[in-house]
Amino acid sequence: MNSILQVNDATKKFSGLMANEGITFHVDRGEIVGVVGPNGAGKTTLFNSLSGVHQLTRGSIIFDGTDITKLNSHKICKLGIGRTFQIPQAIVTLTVEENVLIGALCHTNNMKEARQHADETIEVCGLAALAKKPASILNVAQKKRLEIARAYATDPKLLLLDETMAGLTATERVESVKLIEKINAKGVSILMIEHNMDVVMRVSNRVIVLDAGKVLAIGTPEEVTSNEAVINAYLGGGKKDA
Amino acid sequence: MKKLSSKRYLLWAGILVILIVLPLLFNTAFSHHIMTMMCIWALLGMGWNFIGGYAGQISNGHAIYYAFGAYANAMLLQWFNLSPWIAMWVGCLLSAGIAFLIGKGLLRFRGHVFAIATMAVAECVRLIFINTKAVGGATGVYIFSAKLNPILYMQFSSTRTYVYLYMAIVVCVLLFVRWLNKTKFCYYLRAINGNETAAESAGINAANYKLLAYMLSAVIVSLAGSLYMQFMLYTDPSMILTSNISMMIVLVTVMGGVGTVYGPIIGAIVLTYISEYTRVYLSHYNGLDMVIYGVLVILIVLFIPDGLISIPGRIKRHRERRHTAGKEAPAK
Repeated sequence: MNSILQVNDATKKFSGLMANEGITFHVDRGEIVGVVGPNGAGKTTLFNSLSGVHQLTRGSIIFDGTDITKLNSHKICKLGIGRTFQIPQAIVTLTVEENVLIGALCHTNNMKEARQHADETIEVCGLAALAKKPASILNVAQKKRLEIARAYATDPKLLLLDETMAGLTATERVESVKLIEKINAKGVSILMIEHNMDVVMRVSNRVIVLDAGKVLAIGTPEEVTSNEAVINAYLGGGKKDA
Repeated sequence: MKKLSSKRYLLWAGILVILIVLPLLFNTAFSHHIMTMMCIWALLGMGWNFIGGYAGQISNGHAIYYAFGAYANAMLLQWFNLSPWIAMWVGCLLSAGIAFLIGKGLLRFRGHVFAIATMAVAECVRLIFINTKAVGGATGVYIFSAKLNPILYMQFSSTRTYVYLYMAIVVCVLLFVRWLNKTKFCYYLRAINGNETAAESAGINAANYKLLAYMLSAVIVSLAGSLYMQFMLYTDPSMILTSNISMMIVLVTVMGGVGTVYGPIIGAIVLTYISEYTRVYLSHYNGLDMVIYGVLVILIVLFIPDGLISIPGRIKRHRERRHTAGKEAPAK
């Protein structure tokens, strides 16, 4: 099977609000898939369902041949899905090094082994200069990078990146894209929510467009950008007139 | 394992010499009483530190496990003539079991709710003990007997023996805490304390780790309870199972330094010293000892929120800032 992730009819309802409805898609091994959509489209809800923060009302999620629909966050992480959060969730009571170590301890009890793995991850993620600093003093860009490092240290097969470019300067975005490509080159599949269309178009193999909790379009960046429904959702149909 | 440097060897050797010499130097029953109580409070603080300090779940009901440890020694001696050397471990097991049941129920709560819930459970346990005749009810239990073998039944005539024995136990627990501090277990607890959502997403089963921390803290506090019973040879619910005791356990750790290895020991030394001396020397002015004690605690917590253990670091940082400011100042 080439798919690392298969999502079927994913539906999440919060009381009267249908946050996700009938979402079906897959992510192939080694692929980078972008998830775009206007605010409130249900992107983060989808990520929360995929990472076990909450469970689907209906539908199923198959990861690497295992049904993870009803599993908790920590079990899903151990199976190989790492994630970052829209609002960076750095463990501010720990140093940068210790934050990454927490991720590295996911698959081992051996501290020496975990420290070595954490050091390598810190190096890959370009955080070596900040390793001994407390996570509380980092700026937004560094906290986002730290989140990627912690998630990557868990040795994921699939990485869920939730708006890792938001609030970054152009230079920081370039660095972040390089890091994502570097991680992907090591065989990690990536599913990323992103508002920055330049980034999405540049790095994604395919793009999923969500609107009002439903899939509006799935395809290559070129296919999606020329899709009528997507243009209408993003530009309210104004592009034609412009 | 890392080898100790010669400086560290000297430091530890010095501390060992002080521990041996102190009870000889201050050779009165009152001094020995204070030293013994310091040891007991140090154990209580080190125990609570696992759930309150490392895992960040403020338990206000740890007097339960202090009482279970004490009562386990007393009742097992009365019912089965069991030596406290064995009974204290039975007490630890019992406390771990009780902590498992209470923790399973309460650890789903966080913050203030958990703090209040643990306090409420402790109050319920106090009322149960008061109304249970089998464990002495409100009058409590008394275990002294001149017929018992003092070594086998841990009832020494010399208070100095208690000091040395309890110091040795504190050192053993300290070494255990020091070792555990650098393991996956403690890193995970700190991560849960810092950000539970992030910890879960990094593969940590937060509920299980918090429960383990709660049980471990109950075991160490129970051990302190057993030692307290052997030292006092008497206890009752109003002595050991009050909210005051639970608060003091929290205070010892907060004052010394929450989530640190040595903080609870420093807190225990300072708090016991203050409380015992104000109690003895100021008790004839009704309530003045408690006022002074309270004010001192408020001042320390207010001005040194990271605990007394943070003082050397604060001084160092202050000096560094002054040094940097001096360098940056323009020459006149």
